[in-house]
Amino acid sequence: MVTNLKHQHLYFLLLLFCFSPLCAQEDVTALENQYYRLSDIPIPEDIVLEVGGMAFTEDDQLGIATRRGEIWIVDDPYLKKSRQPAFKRFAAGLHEPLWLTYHQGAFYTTQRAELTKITDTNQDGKGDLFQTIYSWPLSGNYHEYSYGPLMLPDGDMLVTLNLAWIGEGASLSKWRGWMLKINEKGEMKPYATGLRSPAGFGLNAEGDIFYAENQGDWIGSGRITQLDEGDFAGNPSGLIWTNEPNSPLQLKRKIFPDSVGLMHEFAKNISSLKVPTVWFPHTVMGISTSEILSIDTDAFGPFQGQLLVGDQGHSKIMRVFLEKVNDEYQGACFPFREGFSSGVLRMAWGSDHSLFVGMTSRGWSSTGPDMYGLQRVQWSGQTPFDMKAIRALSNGFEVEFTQPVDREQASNSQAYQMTGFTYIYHRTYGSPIINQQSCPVVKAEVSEDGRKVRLYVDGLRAGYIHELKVNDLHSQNGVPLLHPSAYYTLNNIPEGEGLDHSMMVAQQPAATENVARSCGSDPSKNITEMPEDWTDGPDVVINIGTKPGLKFDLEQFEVTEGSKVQLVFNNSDDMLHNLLVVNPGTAEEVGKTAMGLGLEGTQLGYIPDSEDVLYHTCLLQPESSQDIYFVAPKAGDYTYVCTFPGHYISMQGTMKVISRSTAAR
Amino acid sequence: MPGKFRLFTIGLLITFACTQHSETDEERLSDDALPFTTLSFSNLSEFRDVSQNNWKTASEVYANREEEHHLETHEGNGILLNQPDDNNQANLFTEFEHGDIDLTLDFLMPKGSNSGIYLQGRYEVQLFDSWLKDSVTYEDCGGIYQRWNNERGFEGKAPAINASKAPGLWQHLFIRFKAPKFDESGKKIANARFQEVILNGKVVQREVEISGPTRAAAFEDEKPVGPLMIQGDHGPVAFKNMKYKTYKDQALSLENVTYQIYKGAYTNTDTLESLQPIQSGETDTLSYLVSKENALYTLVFKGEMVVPESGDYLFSVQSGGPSWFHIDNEYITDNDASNNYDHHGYGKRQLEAGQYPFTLTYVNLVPWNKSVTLSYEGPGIPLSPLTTQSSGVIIPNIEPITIKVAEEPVLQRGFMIHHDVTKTHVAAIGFPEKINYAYDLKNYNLLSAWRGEFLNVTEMWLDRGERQLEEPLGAPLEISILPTVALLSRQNAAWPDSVTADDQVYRNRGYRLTDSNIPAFFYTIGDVEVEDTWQPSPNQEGLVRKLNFTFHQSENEVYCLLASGSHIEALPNGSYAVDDKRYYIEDLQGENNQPVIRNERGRAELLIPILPQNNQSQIQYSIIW
Ligand SMILES: [Cu+2]
Repeated sequence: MVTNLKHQHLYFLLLLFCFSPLCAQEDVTALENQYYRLSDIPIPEDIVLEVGGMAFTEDDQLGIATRRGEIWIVDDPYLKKSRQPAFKRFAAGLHEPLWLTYHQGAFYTTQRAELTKITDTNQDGKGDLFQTIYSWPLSGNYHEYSYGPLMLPDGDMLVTLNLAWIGEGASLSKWRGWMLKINEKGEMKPYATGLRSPAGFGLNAEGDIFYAENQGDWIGSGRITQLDEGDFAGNPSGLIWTNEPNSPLQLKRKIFPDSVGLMHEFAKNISSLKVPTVWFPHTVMGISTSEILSIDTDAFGPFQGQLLVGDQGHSKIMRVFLEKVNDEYQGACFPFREGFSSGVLRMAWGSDHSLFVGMTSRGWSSTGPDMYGLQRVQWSGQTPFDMKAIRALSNGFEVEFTQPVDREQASNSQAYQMTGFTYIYHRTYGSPIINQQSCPVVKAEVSEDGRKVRLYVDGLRAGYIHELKVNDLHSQNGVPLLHPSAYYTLNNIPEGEGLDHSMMVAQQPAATENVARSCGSDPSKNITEMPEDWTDGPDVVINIGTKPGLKFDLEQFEVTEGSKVQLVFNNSDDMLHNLLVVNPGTAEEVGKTAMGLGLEGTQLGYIPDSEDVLYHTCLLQPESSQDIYFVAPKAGDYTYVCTFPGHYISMQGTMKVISRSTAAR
Repeated sequence: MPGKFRLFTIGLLITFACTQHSETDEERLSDDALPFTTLSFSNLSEFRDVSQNNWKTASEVYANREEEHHLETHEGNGILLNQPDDNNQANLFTEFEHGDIDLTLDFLMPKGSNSGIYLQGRYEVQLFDSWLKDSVTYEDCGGIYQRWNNERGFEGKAPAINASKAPGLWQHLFIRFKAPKFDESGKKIANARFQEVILNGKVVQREVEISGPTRAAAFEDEKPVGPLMIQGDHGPVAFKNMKYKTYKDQALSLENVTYQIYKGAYTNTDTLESLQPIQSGETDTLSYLVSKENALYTLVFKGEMVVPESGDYLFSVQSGGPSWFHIDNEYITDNDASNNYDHHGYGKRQLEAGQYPFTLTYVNLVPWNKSVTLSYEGPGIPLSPLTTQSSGVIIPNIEPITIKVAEEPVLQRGFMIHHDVTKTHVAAIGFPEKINYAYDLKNYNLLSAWRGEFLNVTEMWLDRGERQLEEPLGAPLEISILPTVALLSRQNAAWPDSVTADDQVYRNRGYRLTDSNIPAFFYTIGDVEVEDTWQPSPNQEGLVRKLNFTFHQSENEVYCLLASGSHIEALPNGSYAVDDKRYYIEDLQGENNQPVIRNERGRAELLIPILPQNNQSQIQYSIIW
C-alpha cells in the first residue's frame, strides 16, 4: 500500500509538472530537435570563445571574432575529419569586435573605434595587415558598441553604432544611434538613425536592409525595421546630428515629447519615421533580438525566403515571414528553435546549409547557462507541421501551413484566437501592452490543397500587433502543430472587401485592463507603505541593489523570524528587474513559471500567482527603486530572485531567517 | 551663500559610471590639499652641520648615464646633491624632526649609485640604481632595507615591481610613514609603518610594518620623533622638490552633534530653515545611516567643532547627491551638486583654536546613491574623515585579468588613461623583452611606455567591462602626445595639438605585423606616406623608433616632432633630455635632416624637417628612460 501511495503521489507530481510551462518548453525543444537538430562544436579548453562575429572563408573554414579581440579560424567546423576541429588563431588584440565578414580574401570587422580590414598577405594563416577603413570618435562610455560591416552586393558596407547609456540612451559622440554606409575607400555616408542597440542587421532575399532592435527607452519591445536611406527608426537620441551637412534627414530631437503615444499614429505626420516591420512581443518572442539572417535555400526546410532572427537573452532563434502591403513590408514572427547553450548573438550559413550559431552571455546573461558557445543546427529532412506564413487580407488573414491540415479541425473558427495590442511610444524604458482587444475569428476556410486557411477576422486595427493562437490543430497525418502561436504586425490592412455585416460581432470589451501595474496579482505581497502598527519603524532595513551582469549586489542577508523588515530594492541597472522573496528551494520553479506567463507577463511584471511567492517588488524601471515591508517568516533559507524572463538563473540571493532562539544567543 | 546652489530637476540628473581612481594624496592638486613644506635647497641651512663636505647645492646636474658614479654640477642652488669621496661621505640630517610624515621628492641617481631616505634617521627606503634589473630585492630602489641582528639580516621588503628609471633622469618618490607609538611610560605600543611608497607613479610598498631601525640607522633606539636622514656614504645622488607634511597626534573633535531629516530634496538653505524636520535627534557619529529614508530627503548635521590648533584647515565633501558644509554660518565648500561620489569639493579656511558651530547638509535624490563623506586636513593633521567609513562608498577587491607576453610581441587595443583622461583609440604593445608601449591611433604617436609586465585588462573583460580600460602593469612614462608628423607652412608655424578621428586627416592607415609580430603603424598625411615602427632597444634600455617617409609630391614642408615638454636639453654626449630629464632621446639618425629645438607657447619642441632624397627619408632614434 505504501509503495502504491508513493506511486500515485509521483504520478500526480508528474501531471502537475507537465502542466507547467517548463514542461511545455522542454517538450518543444525535444520536438524541434526532430526537425532541426542542435549539436555542439567543441571548443578547446584554453579558448574563451565569446563570439562577437562569424564568417565563412572561401575555403569553407569558419572565422570567429571574439569579444576578447581574437579571430579564430575553425578548419573543419562540419566535424567531417575529427570530433575536435582545429582552432587556429588568425588575429588578436582587437577591441571588442562584434561582427565578422569575409570578402575577397580579407576579414572585415568593427572594433569599438573603427571599421577594420584584416588581410593575411603572406598566406601563413595569420592576419598581418590591419587597415583602418574608417574610424569614429568615442565618448568612452561602455555602451558604445559598434557592429558590422554588412557587405552589400555593390561592395559598400553598413555599420551601426550603439547609443551610450547614461541612465538613458544618449548619442555622446558623432553618429552614435546611426547606421552608416562606408565604402572600401573610407568614404562615409550617414544612412539612417533612430537606432538604440542595433546589434543585428541583414538583407532579405530582395536585398532590402532590416535591423533588429532591443527593448529600451523609446522602444516598447524587440522588433525588426526595414531601413531606407534617411529613415528614422524611433529612438530620437541620434537626431542631435541631423544638423550635420551630410545628414540624410532633418528631423529634430526637440519635437519629441517624453510620451508620444502610439507610434503608428505619430508616424502619419513624420515622413521619415519608419514604423517597425515586425514586432517581437517582449518575453514571448525573445527579449533581445540579435542577428538577422535570410534563409536563401530550400535545403534548410520549407522556409526559403524567410528571415531568422536570433535572441541573446532567451538563447533562441525566431523566424519571420514578410510581405509587402501598400508597398511597405510587414509580416509575422514565429518561434523556430530554442534551447541553445548560451546567448545567441551570431548566425552563419555553412556550405551544407546547416546553420552555425555563435554565442556569448558575459555581462548580459542568457537562458542558455554557458558563458559562451558554438552550436550548429541541421535540418533533419523532415518537415515540421508549422505555420509557414501569414498574409494579411482586407478582412482577415490567410495562414499557410507547411503541410495539409486536418480539414475538420482547421475549418472550425473556434480553433483560432486572435488578440490585437500595441506598445506605448515614450522615453520610458520598455512599455506595457496597451489597447489589448480580442479580434473574433468568425469563419475559417480551408483551401483545396489543405495548406491554407483563410480566417475572417473582426476588429482588425492597422498599426497593431495581432497575436494568433491556434488550439488543437493537427495535420492531415495527425501531427500536432509544432508552434501554435504567431504575431503579425499589421501596419497596413490591404484594400478590399471588409467583413460581411452578418459576420460582424458586437464589439467585446477589452479583454484586460489596459493600465498595467506590472506588479503581480496579489497586492498583499507588495506592501509599499510602512504598516501603521509599526510604530517603532522597521526592525531592520535591507538595501539591495543591482550589479551589471544580472546580479544583485547583495548575495545574502540575515533577519530574525518575526522581525519587521523594510527591503529597499534599487534598480541601478540599465534593464528592468524585480525582486521576489520566495519559499526555500522554489526560485527556479518560480523563475520558469514567470517565463511561461506569455503576454500576461508584462502586465503582471513577471510575478506569477504562486503560493511560493511570499513578497515582491513591482517590475522596476532602470534607475528606480521600491521599498517593501514584510514580517520575516519562520526560520529557513529563503531565496530572493528577479523573475524578469531569463534573469532568475543568475539574479538570486539568500535571505537567511534565523530563529528567535538563535538570535537571542 | 545659499545662492550658490542651483535648482535642479530629477529628470536631468545623470549618473555616470564612477571613476574609481587610485588617487593618492600626493597626486592631489595644490587647491585640493594644504601645501607641503618645501625644504629649501638654496643652501644647507635646513640641515644639521656636517663636518665633511660631500653635500652641496647646485643649479643643474648632469649624470652621464653610461659613466659609473658620474655627476656633473653647475654651481648654484635649487638642487641638493651628494658627491662623496674617501674622506667626505657623511650622512645628512634635517634640522626638523618628524613623527608621522608624508614626504615627496625627486631624485636623480648616477649610474651604479646608492643612497637612501631614513625616516626619523632610522627606517630606510632604499634608493639605488636598479635600472633594468629583472628581479628586485630589499636592496633595490623602493625597497624597505633589512634590519640586522646576530650577523643576519631580517625583515626588509622588496618593492612590488622594479619601477626605476635610467641613471641621470629625475625620478619621483612619495613616502607615507607612520612613526612608532609609545604609551606614557615610554613603552612602544605600535611599530613604525610605511603606509605607502610610490615610485615613479606605481605603488611599490603598502602597509609595511617594521619592528625597529634599519641596519645602517643613525640611532639604535626608537623615538616618537627624529630627523630625516639622507644617506651620503654610498655614492652620489641629487634631490629636488623635497617637500613634506608632518603630523602630530591631534584631531578635530565634534561635540553636541544633532541631525535633522527633511522629507524632500532641498538645496536652498533658507528654505530648509523654514521647514519642519520629519525626524531629528542626537548622534555621536556623522553618517547618512542615521536616516532610514529611502530617497528624496535632506539630512542636516549640526554641532560644534573643536579646533585644536590655529592654522589653515582644508575641508572636502563628496557624496552621491548635493552636499555642502558651513562653519560658523559661513560657506566653506560644496560638491557642485554632483551625483558622482568621486567628485570632491574643497574649501580652505583659517581657523583659530577654539570651538565653532558647523553644518553639514546632504541631499539624497536617488536611493541607490547614498553616501556622504566629510574630510579635513589641518596643521599637523593628515587628511582624515569626520564621517564614518560606512557613510562613504567602499570599492571591492577583484582578482585581476592580465595579458602576459610570451615568445612574440602582443598587441591589444582598448581604452587607456593618459594624464587623467581616457584615451579611446589606443593600441598597447608588449614585447618579450619586457618593454611595453601604448600608441595613440588618433595622433599616431607614443602615449606611454613601461618596463616589466604588460597589461591589466580586468576593466575590459570582466562582466560588461564598464570602463573598457587597459592598464600598464609597470610604471608608465607618459609622453605628452602631439601628432608626430605635420605639414607646416614654415618652420616656426605652430604644431597642431591634435587631429580628431572623424577629420579623416590620415588616410591609408593601419598597421602591419612583421614576421616576428612587430607592428608597423602606417598612414598617409597630405601626400606623404609614413611608417612608424617601435622595437625594444638593445639591453631593454628603451624603445627604438624608425620612421620611414615616402613622398609623392613634395610641395609642403614636412616636419616630424621628436619630442615636446617643458624643457629639452642637448646633452654633452649628443643625446637629448626631454621635459626636465624625464627621458632621453638618443642615437638620432636622420641622414641629412637636422633637428631644431624651438619654444612654442611655453612648450619646448624637438623638430626635424624631413627632406626627401629620391622621394624617401628615414629617421631613427631611441627613447630611453
Ligand atoms: Cu532582473
